[in-house]
Amino acid sequence: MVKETKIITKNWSQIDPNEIDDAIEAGGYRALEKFIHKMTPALALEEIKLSGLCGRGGAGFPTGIKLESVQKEKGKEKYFICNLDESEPGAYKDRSIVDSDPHMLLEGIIIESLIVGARKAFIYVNGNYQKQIEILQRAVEQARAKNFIGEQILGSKYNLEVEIFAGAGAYICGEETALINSIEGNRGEPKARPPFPTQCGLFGKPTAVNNAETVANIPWIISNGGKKFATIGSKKSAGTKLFIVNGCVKNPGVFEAPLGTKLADLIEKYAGGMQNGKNFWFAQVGGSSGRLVLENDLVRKLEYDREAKIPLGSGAILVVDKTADIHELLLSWMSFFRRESCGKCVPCREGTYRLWEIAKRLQDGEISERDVAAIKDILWTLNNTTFCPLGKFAATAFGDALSNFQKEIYRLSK
Amino acid sequence: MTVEKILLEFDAELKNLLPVLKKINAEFGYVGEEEAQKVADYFSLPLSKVYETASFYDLINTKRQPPLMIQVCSGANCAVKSAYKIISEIENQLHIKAGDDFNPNVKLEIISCLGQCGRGPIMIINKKIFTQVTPSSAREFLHNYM
Amino acid sequence: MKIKINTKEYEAKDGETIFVACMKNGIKVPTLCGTKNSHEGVCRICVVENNGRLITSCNTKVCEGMKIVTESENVAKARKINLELLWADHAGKCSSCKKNQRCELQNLAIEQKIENFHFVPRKEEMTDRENLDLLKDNRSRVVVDEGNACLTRTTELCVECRRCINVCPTKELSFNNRAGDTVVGTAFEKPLDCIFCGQCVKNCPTGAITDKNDLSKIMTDLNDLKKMAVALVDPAVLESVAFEHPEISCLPAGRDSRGKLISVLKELGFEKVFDLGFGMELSLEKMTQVVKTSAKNNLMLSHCSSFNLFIKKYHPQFAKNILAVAHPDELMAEFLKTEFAKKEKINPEDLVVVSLSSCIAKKKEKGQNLDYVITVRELGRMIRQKNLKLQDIKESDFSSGLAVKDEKIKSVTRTGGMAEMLAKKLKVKYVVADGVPQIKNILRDLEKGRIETKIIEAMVCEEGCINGGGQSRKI
Repeated sequence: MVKETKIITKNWSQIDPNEIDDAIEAGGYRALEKFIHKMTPALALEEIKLSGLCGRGGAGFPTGIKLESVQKEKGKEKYFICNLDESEPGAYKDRSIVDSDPHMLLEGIIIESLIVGARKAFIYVNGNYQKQIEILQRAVEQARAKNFIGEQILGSKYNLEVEIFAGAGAYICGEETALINSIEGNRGEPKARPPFPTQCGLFGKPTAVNNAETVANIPWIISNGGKKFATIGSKKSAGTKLFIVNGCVKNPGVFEAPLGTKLADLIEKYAGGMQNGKNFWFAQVGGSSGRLVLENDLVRKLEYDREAKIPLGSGAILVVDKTADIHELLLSWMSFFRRESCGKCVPCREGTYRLWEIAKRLQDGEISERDVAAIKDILWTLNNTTFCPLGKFAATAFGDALSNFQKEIYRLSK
Repeated sequence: MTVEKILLEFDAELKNLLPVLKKINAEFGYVGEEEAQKVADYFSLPLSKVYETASFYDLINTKRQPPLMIQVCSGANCAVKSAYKIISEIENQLHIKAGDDFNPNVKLEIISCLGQCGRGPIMIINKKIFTQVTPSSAREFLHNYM
Repeated sequence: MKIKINTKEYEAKDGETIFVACMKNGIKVPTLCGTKNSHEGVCRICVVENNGRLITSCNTKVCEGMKIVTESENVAKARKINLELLWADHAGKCSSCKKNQRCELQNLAIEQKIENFHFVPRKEEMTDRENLDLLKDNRSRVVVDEGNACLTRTTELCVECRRCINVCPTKELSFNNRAGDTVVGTAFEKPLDCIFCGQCVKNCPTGAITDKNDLSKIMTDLNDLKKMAVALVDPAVLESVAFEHPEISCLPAGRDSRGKLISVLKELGFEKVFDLGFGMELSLEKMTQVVKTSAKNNLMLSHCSSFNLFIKKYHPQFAKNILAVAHPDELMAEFLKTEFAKKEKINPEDLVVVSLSSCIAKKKEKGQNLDYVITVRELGRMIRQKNLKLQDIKESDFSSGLAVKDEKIKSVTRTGGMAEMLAKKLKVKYVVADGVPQIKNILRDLEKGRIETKIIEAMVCEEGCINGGGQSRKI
């Protein structure tokens, strides 16, 4: 077994998610008390900046900087949104947080909201997560009864309301401007930036949007200090990460591991290695828009680094063995984006549709010269001209597969 | 529960538009023109705006749904476990094509991911979730609904 | 601030977009989705390079130190691929399209030299087996809406640029569904039933929203030897005919600049061409009488057909406030078919009155005597269909018989013109609303009793008929 570093999962399967007293007994809400009685928002922000924590949703933007820009905005009305939309195929880390320790998440939400000066926080939950919505609702009620939420929290001057907003089924709403549009009752289309949500977000007010896993780190940082957090993980990115390992491994599931862990270790040491009789072919890191990793890159570290060859994304890892049908995978990726593109900009709306058509023809072995040329152009325009990151990365896996498995995909004999 | 009663539970603020549409959808199975018009009046929005929002989201239907709804996950995790074989099995069995809404009695939909990848492939028949489905078990499950 | 565009430095204002900065300095950047007031950045055709990165010029604001390149290998590649993607989704043959030669997509395709399309068309007139097979999985949603008198919608030709949604003053159109199924349409795909201001037709870059086609019937009547075709020329159209055909430019608008247009109409087969100013004078006269004899206040002038439709559809409680005076075109047609026909000894049945108008709502509110309403765009099509040689066209004058007494009457084409004249004659108070937002405000005030005046004039198109939905647009 590996030496465990637990920040987010420390209470998992130790407490009843429906009982706030369990959580409190396990150390929950101490960070909130510390923040309220012993810290100022500026001081707490300093700790978060020191910690080097960055966004766990995929982009890896430094959390401290995001919070700081909302904190320094003038105006009384500000919002904090916890992004729990999680609709990436194969990713269920945020759901697991709610299932196992919702109060740690809630505590993080409260602290972050108070840091930026928001009086209202939203938890944007994937509309399919019916059970998790109920857990969160119960958690919010219990926290309100203990005065962790509401007026004059724990006798202080802070006020905060937390509202759970259930999504309605759209992958793009995980993108923060689309998520804001969705709460505002619009189509979940991304908005042009600038202005950034930190200046002009929900209902035109400064808004901080953080992924649920990012938020869940906050209580630990407040309790133990940013410096200590920065010592965990790798040089380039601090802390731990929830990795979801799926596919042909012995024990698929969610694992907390320090950032900088090697992909090979995750598969071997955390997920128990390959299933008996299955041979590793490649792994897809980061969900449906993630890159493909071949055997010789298994030694690479998984971390948030702008120059990394393997962007970590949401941390979902799909391990594929040699018996898998690459054509079905191509179709799966493209049929996902063909449904989930918002339809706003031309390259993404038309490009993903075309690639989906081509993936079907590839499966049927009816590929033509014209398609081969078209694939190149579509990949290029998606990467260079789309409105938002969904389009930019929609065909990453498709492109990687084409450059690595040309023989299999085009059914060439050599 | 009538549309009016549902509307009364919410303030006419824009952030309640999506929750209202979802609730109507849950109650009636879809948001039809008549319902959408009432929502539009309540929120003082043009009808087109309500329809625009409603038609964007997967969990809100703007048409009446057929009595038999079959959904199969085609996320990469399920795809590597032969989800596509299940889809074509159902297509052949029922003589329909995934995604088409021409048949008034049955619809087959490809969906993305329910986060139950460990137990895939996933199939849903009228909201009931079936896990670790194979082409032959899919046929059996379907049989119980016919 | 200073920014560099291509090789030169230019002064740019804080807050303006790269697109605007380029336009101001005469540097052309193509776009399919932008309109005067909205830039959504959806077509991705207006991309330019900034320090080596592709960005959309229409929604990126200028900032100090930008180095913009408007034409480069990557820019051309991006424009070309995105255009091709749109083109492949765009059905039909240009030669039979109403917008042929006036289509922005077609023009761009020519400009960007798109010759071979390597995407498989989504929908197209295709007959050979190979292509039909490729189309078998294609379930595009095509909506053809011809259920009204004014315009035709075909989603088949739509490039989802959203211009129509952005310019629609009553928000009848919306962007529906998601991803590849996205269509621009009405709520629940009902036939369009709006106020038909025509701004969507005017702004549509392709043939997706076009004027309802009466041309074949008009052509038949024009060729019928028994019939006498009369054209009425709305003075407002003089502003925009040049956009359709620069050769018949009527600019600057005025008495002497319309000569070529009159000749063109005669060339097309109209025996008589009259100035609609005559009808406007009839209209002013009638309105004067009605207003003078009415004891009521808050009388609404009725010469804007779109406004009449607006009241009927959205505020029927005010329908009784609208004057029962037909629009100038109908009044003039009535005059032609009665007094004029009697004087000239023509059977009114044989008289075909066609109004060349800046308004498409008139197609719906035509009246009994007016036979057809054609827009500037439709005139352009007639000219192209007939292949008229415009270079050699000489100037001529309006047919005699129905002269305009005072050219000042033509100010009624602009918002407030009619009300001003009436008010001057009758010494009464008036209120003017320009465009739908102002109309809504005034109606709200009326409802609350905050307005008490004699006459109210409202025009749906901002500034009046000059910006009418039947006008042509510079592309």
